[in-house]
Amino acid sequence: MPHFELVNLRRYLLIVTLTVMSLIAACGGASSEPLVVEKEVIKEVVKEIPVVKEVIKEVVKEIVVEKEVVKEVEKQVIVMATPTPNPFIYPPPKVTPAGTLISVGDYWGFMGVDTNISEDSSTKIYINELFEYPIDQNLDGSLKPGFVTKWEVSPDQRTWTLTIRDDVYFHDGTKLTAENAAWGWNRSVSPDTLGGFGLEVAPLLDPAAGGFSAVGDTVKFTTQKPSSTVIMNFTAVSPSRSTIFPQAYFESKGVAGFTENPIGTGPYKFVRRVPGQYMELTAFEDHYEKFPGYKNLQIWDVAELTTRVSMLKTGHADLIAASVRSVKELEESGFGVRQVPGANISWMWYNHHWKEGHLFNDKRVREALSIAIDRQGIGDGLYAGQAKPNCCAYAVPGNIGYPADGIPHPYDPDRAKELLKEAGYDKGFEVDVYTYVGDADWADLPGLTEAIAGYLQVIGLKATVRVVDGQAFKAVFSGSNKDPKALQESLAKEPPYILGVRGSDTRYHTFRTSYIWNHSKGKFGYNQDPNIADALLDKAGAAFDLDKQHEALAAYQLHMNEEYWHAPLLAAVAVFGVDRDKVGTWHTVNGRPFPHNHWSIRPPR
Amino acid sequence: MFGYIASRIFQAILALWFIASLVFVLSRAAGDPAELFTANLAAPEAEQMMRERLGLDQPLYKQYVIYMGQLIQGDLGTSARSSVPVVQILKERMPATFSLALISILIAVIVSIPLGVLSAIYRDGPIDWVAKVVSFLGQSMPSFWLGLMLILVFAVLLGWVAPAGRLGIPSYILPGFTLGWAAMAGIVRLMRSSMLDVLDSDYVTMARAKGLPEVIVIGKHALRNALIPVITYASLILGAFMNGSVVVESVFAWPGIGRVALHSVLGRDFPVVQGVVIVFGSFFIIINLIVDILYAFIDPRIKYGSQ
Repeated sequence: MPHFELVNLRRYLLIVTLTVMSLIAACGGASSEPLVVEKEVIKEVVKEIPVVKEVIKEVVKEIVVEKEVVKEVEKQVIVMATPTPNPFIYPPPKVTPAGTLISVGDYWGFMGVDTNISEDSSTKIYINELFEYPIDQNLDGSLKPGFVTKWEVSPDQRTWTLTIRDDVYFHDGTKLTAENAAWGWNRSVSPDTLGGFGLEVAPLLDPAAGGFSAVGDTVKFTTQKPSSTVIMNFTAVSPSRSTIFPQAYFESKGVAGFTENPIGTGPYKFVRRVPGQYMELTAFEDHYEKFPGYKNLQIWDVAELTTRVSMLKTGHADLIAASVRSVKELEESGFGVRQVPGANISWMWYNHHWKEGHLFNDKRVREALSIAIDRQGIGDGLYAGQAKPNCCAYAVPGNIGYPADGIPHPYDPDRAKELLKEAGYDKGFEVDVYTYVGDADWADLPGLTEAIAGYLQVIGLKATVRVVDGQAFKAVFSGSNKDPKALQESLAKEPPYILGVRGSDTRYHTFRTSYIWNHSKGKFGYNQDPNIADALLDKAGAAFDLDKQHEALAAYQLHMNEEYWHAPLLAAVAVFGVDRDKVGTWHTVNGRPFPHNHWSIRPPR
Repeated sequence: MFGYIASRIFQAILALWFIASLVFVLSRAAGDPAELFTANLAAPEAEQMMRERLGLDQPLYKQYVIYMGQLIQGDLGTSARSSVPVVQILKERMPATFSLALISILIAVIVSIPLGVLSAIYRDGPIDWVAKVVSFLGQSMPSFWLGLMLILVFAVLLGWVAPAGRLGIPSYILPGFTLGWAAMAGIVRLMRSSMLDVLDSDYVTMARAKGLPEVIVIGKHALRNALIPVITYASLILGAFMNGSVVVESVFAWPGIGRVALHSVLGRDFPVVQGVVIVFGSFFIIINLIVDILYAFIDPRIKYGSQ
């Protein structure tokens, strides 16, 4: 009997298996027809792409011809006085928004929209759409009025007056007033809600002056002492958020209610936020200046690059934040590639370089280590030609403080060996090259560090790569300098001597970052020698005129570069892949840290 | 039975208290939270302001009392980065992670239990061979690789599903399978060996000798007993899915707690990290508690507490 039952079971299983297989076959058959149609459409698109490529190649050919007869071209321009047509008009012209744009990047989940106090990375992405900055940026990176038309400082350089534009309206129709702006900024600096913008501005304010106050159409605030760069916190180039919410609406809804349905003054209005997934916005057609090109905008948070590329390929995305290494794949797949120049930079640090008698205090050693690195080779090889040698830390062309005559350190391994020999280190020495993980601002820091260690070994150093957590990295270069006991302990452990490889987004205004790291009174204490950079940084800090700040900071950058106090490495573009059928012009800003101004994207004509 | 359940609940509460205390100590041992919370560019005074706002200027024992008091009231603090209450963040993300974990375990169980049973019945036959291959592949393929391959095949090449996001039932298939795949391997192997043990036991021989149909012997007598270790394993796997979802959620842009955990760790948002650890820990402890209680019902031989 058991045997009989087992046979039955086998039969039963056979029947079930056959039935399941038939079902699978049936489902496959049913779905195969529309799939074939989809594939045909994709093939048609692919066929169009070579035509686009041909056009681009022809343009390149024309440029080559012009270069060959460059003098004649120059003469023509002078005689005819024909202005060079600028493809970018700012702001872009008004259009009737149509269609939907789906933009995808690694945006950390859209946890909060209270941009007054949030430091959430994802707020960077939609702040230019839903809210906006008091002081905005031109396409060349220079500052321009946003909802603040003028910013002036008093003769004693302590009281600032910001004039609020009189035709700015929130998405609910209420007007942005000076009182409303003052309320928003006072909320940001309040001890109860301190965060983001407030943490940077509150310590500078004069407590006796009572924070921000509205006077007519202006907002005034007073700092404890002259602070030339406090105004940078109100600009689009600052990482801090100086956005304003409608006071009456915010107070009636509370934080939770506002987060559910936020209202700003930006070119896009809020529709919905699906936490961890996407944010949906719709065009605010009554904006005073910025006219969205699309009726709907969806911004998706997708951490994995391969998934983002897959979304582009399957039509689930129109624009993706890509990587310098995905340019080739995107182009080969027929997608457009948009590059925002100078978005990120990297450089190398020498620990304890400021300490007299230390190995890195010797300029010859610093120079040797820097010129041992083939920046161009790394840029071409590791970063597929999307990263170029750069002369300065934090700054790229177009940023305040970038010296026009700054030259990246050359690649000369023979000279590097000679310098080491001159300095008495012809047998080399041991170095630990520290870097860290989890930095979205530079692609593959460990890979870059491996490459650098390789070049250092060529000149005779024994280099070991140490990949640590970001906070631990910072502690190596700040903690061991600030605390005398930690310094002694750190010095006693040498060799190996310590180098650090860092990446960052660029800073439009490099003063504060330079100060906190390289001024002897800077917050992190990386440099303790006042003779290295203090005078130049103090000069820049004392200048209230932007041109003078630029001049002083450029002198500082040149000095740091020529003395090899640090070793700037590469400046990389930010790469975006786009569906050519959905994305036409896009007004990216050169060197802008956060190049996400979706409102300026226009569909192709 | 009541005594046993009460004692297990007490142990669970103790374990939760231990986790909460450990998280409190570790988060403060990792560095000055005020420094972590304050942006690089902020003036040094900002750190003191943040310290006061967060109550970090208080003595450590006072901080601990406040922390435990808030925890008992369900207050996990506020995210340092987004300034959103941690409870709200977890509440928003919890359904996505839980539902994915449940779907994954369901997929794993539906496939692996019958496969494990059949491979035991038809030992060394083709089904057993298939089961071995499934186990081997399941244990050797990393989930991030499997996830990406599934996206490339089923989303990009075949266009059957969307590559990412939580957009209705079909969007559960790829992440659910990816997460469940590794578990399948373990369950198949465990089910097979457990079933083999049971099939060789005296009471199964006795059941057959009594002339019971093989379906009854296997389904009622053998399977029920063979399932006990599998249920334990599957329950613990469910807990592990909560932790293991970090990778799968990142690959499939799944809006769950796993991604919150990853971002919080990278961003040093330690109130959120604390919240995630406490939630994951609690989940694990509760699952264990439920499994222990279930044992008593599944296997009448198991008696606790009173003996």
